[in-house]
Amino acid sequence: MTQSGDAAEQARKRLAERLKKGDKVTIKKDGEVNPDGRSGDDIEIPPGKLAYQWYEHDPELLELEKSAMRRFFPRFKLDKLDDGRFFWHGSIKTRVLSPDNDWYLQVVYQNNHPDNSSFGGSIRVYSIDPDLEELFEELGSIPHILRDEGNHIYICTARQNDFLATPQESTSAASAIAWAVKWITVFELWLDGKVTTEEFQSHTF
Amino acid sequence: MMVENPIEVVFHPDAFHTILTETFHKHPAETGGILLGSTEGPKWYVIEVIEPGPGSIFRTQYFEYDHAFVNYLGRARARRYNIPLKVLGLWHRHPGSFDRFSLTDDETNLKFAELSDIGMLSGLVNIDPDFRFTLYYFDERLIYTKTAYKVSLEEIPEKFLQKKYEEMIFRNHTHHETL
Repeated sequence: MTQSGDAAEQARKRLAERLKKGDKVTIKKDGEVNPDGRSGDDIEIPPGKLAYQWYEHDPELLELEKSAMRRFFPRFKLDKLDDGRFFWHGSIKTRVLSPDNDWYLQVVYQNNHPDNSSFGGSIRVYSIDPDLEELFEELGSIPHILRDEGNHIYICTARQNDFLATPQESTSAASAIAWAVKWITVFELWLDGKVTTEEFQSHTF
Repeated sequence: MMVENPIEVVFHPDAFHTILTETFHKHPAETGGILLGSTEGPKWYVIEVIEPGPGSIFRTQYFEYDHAFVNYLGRARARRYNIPLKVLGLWHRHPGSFDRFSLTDDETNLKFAELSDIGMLSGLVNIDPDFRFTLYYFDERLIYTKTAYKVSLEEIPEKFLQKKYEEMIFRNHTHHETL
């Protein structure tokens, strides 16, 4: 069966494939046809996903999120995973290892956004390109990362108390991306030997 | 053809007990299950509730049941009855006091409604702070009607509770007693 954690992974794979081909990046949802009512051995129970979504409960916050993204990362696009979670995707540039280094990111809101009961809060930033899982394999390890329920790597953007999650104030995807850019910069400095593993592992930066 | 509302829903105590057990076993995560039973006009009898299965995803605000498991167990339970059971709907828990359906829930409810021409049931459990179960009746239009329900063994006609091979149990039992 499809795992919720894997929905994000599948979306990343599709995005990566399209990026490789140079296609326009969009995600569509498959329809499903179910047989008519039956009993006994013939019953057919359809697949079922049941979820609370923060943006249905608080559509105003979604508009504020869109507004913040339009202001700070206007090239990022909003899309939805098969499990109903919204995500942004787009690229940012860094200039540590080369003058024009692209990172393509997927920024996923958890169902309970805004929430800071875990590291990174309720917005998870994954790197589609470069693929941090592949880099992890190549390097043997990467300091200062987080893993989701499907054991997929996402960027450690914020400590719990840095992520605001009150009715009056909440951390936005734009902030999460800004923190991710900081992580990426330190990661590249670490690759370049200018930051030690201990320094990277700590929350010095 | 649509049945007139309100329909009358009766849960077998064991079926309702499964909902209670599953809710508190997985607390505070979301969980749910499948409702199986029989109908006779406006009277709907929920006789079995299928647990969500080992491959399910349980989070505080997201739940996905094990599709293969519920189909396997659903069929196994349904075939035990003289009048084989059919799918009557589903139930799941929601966080806090949120007792309406999300768009994600709507998509799943619609898939269930498409299985039947007499509509479906979808139940929501809230713990706020006590156990609260809200049952809705709906069809493919996804117009939800809050539906009253009872938990009672006496109000379920015997014919719907008869098991397919029940007589063999009594026959064997009698045989052993005479040995």
